[in-house]
Amino acid sequence: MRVAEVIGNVTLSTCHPSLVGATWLIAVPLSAAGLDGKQDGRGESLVLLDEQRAGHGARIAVAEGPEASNPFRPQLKPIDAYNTAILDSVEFV
Amino acid sequence: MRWGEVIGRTTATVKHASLEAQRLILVQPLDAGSAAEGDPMVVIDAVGSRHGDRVLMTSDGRSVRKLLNDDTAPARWAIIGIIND
Amino acid sequence: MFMARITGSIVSSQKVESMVGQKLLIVEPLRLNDKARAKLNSTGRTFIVVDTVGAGEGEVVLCVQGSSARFTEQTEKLPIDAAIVGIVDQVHVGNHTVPIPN
Repeated sequence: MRVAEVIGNVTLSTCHPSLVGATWLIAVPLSAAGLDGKQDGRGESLVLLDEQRAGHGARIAVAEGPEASNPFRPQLKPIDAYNTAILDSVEFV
Repeated sequence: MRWGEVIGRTTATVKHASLEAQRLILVQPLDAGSAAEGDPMVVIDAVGSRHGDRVLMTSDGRSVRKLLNDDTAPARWAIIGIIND
Repeated sequence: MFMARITGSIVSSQKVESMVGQKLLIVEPLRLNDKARAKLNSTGRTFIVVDTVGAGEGEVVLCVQGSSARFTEQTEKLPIDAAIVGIVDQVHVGNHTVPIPN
């Protein structure tokens, strides 16, 4: 998982039947500089599925890869990014 | 497997149920020459690592799900050892 | 997951059995421009993807990559690593709506 900052959301007009009703966020992954609060240190944005209702600006832990669809087992869902946790704090030195 | 340095920790009230009561540690992955490589990662900690520790991490999702005793855990990386100085 | 614009399609007559009947499209991933994040620009990269939703050229779509692309009944047994799983309707960043490029 990486830490990412929520910057927006996406809505779909059509989607795969297994994804009906899903909420999609746009987030930017944070590098060490980004975690440190610097404006650069934000990577290329990605789209992820959200079930935790993260708001704009929230820092979240994003699972990337096949594990992103684990929460839906045994159902199959074509997802490669999932909001695992809304982070209350990131202690970082 | 990769190695990295523990640089912090995170707390989360709202999270996937499989991570309840889990420590979510912030690790900076390192390359062979101990330089930072890639973005810091949030990983599950099975060994009680501390800030500054050099740790060994696995990306074997199956063993991580076993560690959490939950097949639905959306996690792949876990700390499985602390590297001796 | 990433947003991308469909720029073309691929026709292949000679292919592995499992891919017969699968629609292959060429997509260019989009990224929000750096500072204002008010526009979606092409990254100039391309991916070849299998379509699961009936998308067409010019549309902006949501794509999944890696082994997750096989996590549908249609694609479960296919030798693929990227698929279209949605057609993008609206993109919001901060408090503004980002225009969908056409």
